[in-house]
Amino acid sequence: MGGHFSVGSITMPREKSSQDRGRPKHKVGASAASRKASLRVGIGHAIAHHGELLQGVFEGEDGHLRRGLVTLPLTSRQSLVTFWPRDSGSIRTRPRGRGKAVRAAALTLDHLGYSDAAGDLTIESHIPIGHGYGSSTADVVATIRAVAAGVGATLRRSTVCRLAVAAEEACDAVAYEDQVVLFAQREGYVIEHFAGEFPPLLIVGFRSGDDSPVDTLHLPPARYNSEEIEQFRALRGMFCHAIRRQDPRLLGRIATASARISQRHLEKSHFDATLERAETHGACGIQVAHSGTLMGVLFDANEIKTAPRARELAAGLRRGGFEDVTIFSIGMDRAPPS
Amino acid sequence: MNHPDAFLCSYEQPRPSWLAPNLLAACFPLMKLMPARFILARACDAVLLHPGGHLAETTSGTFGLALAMLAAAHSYNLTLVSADSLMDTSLRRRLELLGANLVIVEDRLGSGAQDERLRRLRAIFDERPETFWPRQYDNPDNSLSYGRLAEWFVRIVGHIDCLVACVGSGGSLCGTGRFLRMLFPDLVIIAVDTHRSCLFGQPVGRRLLRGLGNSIIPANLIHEMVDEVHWVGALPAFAETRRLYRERALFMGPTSGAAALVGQWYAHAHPGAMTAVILPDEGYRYQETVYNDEWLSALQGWPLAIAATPLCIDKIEEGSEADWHRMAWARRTLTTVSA
Repeated sequence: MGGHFSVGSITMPREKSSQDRGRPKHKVGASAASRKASLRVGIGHAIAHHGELLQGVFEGEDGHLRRGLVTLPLTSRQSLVTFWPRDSGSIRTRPRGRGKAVRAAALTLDHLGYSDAAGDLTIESHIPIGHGYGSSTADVVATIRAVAAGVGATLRRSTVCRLAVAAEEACDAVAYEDQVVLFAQREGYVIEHFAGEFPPLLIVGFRSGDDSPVDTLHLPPARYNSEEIEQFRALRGMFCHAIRRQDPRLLGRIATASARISQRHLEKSHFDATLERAETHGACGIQVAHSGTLMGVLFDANEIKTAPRARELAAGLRRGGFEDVTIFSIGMDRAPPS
Repeated sequence: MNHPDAFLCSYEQPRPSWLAPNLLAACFPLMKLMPARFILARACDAVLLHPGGHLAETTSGTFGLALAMLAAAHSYNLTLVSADSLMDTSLRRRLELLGANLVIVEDRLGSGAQDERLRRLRAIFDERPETFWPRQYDNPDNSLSYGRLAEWFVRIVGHIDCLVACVGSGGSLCGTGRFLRMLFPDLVIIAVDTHRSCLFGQPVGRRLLRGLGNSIIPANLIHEMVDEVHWVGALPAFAETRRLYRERALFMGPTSGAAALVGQWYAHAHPGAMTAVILPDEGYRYQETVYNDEWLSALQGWPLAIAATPLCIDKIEEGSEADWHRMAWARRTLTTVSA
């Protein structure tokens, strides 16, 4: 056991780290140079996220504590990567100098048995940087998918995540899209699969210009105290229940409690005012980007008059000078475009 | 997780029993394993306890049994201080077979002899200063360890409106309660105590019902968290214990009977509320007493018809072993209520 104290003393997994991190052991495909001819242009997408519904440290099956999170997917913002294979040379990116994408492409080619291949990556992203939208992970995941498509391979989500962590040290759970998972972002594997999809939520997202952008790579990891570490247990148990029962109200309580804990580690200005706004508009809770500046107010999309209440809250936020105010949903049916 | 710990980690988990559609009971084989395991693990992390090290504690039974199981599995030396009124031969044998050293003090008053037990314990620390003292009454880790129980409850039922639990150290009630209140600030917390325990202001005296109540005030009991107090006498607790076994095959100890009595009453009175109740140990220790008709029939007042509702009082007052009293505590301090 151990690791009961501060997160600084988290014991990193032994068996997982040696087997799963970095390049997966079992590579896909055979080894013939002629296969280079079979490489084609590949396209990969990855969605952004709007911070987290839950983040903290959680006990793995081996009894060790792990950093983990549940990502709130944001499908309207995406990264699109195109992989243009070449027979030789290096991997280049446009825009230039995207080192993580280069690493991700090399790792993926190697994993698929094309370690000699190279190519160009075109990265087209509509995801802002530095506020907790997960722009970097989205680029990396889209790159891995583009390269896999170029090879004609399909990768499991877990493989995509392991490659992504190897390329950039930590990644979010965006590769799992609308599957709900408690994800170990530094090791790239799922701590707990929750049984179900997200319940229908309408989210009013925004950020305050008073909070400066966060450099995720240089943000020191939160050092949770023992009280918080034990609190995460109840939050995790409740998350499991909320997904099983498709209960947006419970999900809102969990996100709020998690956001409150985050306040102690990466403070958001206007936090209490946001809680108040959420309450007066009949929302079920708030969420934040635990390594960013985003905040979101969560509404149960099944309740009556949710949409007008969300719009009213969004209008109030815009009048209040907040930035990137947007309304989006998860766990909802969408009609075909007319 | 090493092998002995994997077993004990699983042993500390309760089993669920729905006593009513809106009442979930956590039925523990040995609840005290949860705080004991947590406290020792934290002590190891903080290098206060080493493999092969010595620990000592004063206990009336189940916390000692939990410590003895952990000590056996991790090769610690364990000294337990208890009173002759609290420890029966079979538990004594069980502890000794686990390798624990027992110090038993005389308890003529039948009140637990807590002061004398603490004196003996201090003498042990003077003699062996490297001894680790788990201090279940005052160690905040006792209360913290119940994050696991809060998780267990919400994983099954989600929203919880009321928590009912016995109080001895205050760890299970206030520990589980604090983690549930983080999610449900309006959670109603009901403490179950017994007559002649000083926890909620009664004068200390001879108690027939053991395993809950106390003759000192532990730091892990936070009175300001408590909405309501019930003092359950030994007889209604025994009667409910037997009913749990006869009607539900729940073979639990008498403190579980007391908690279940209060939990069922609250759940019945509040059909729209989800109530959680903690049943802390099994019936094996009580086969010669609570589960023995001959022993029971020698008690004054037995058999006893279980009252459907408690007697509501508005001032702290001592009752008999047949009485079940209820008082609104309203999250006040002990001093405020006693004044």
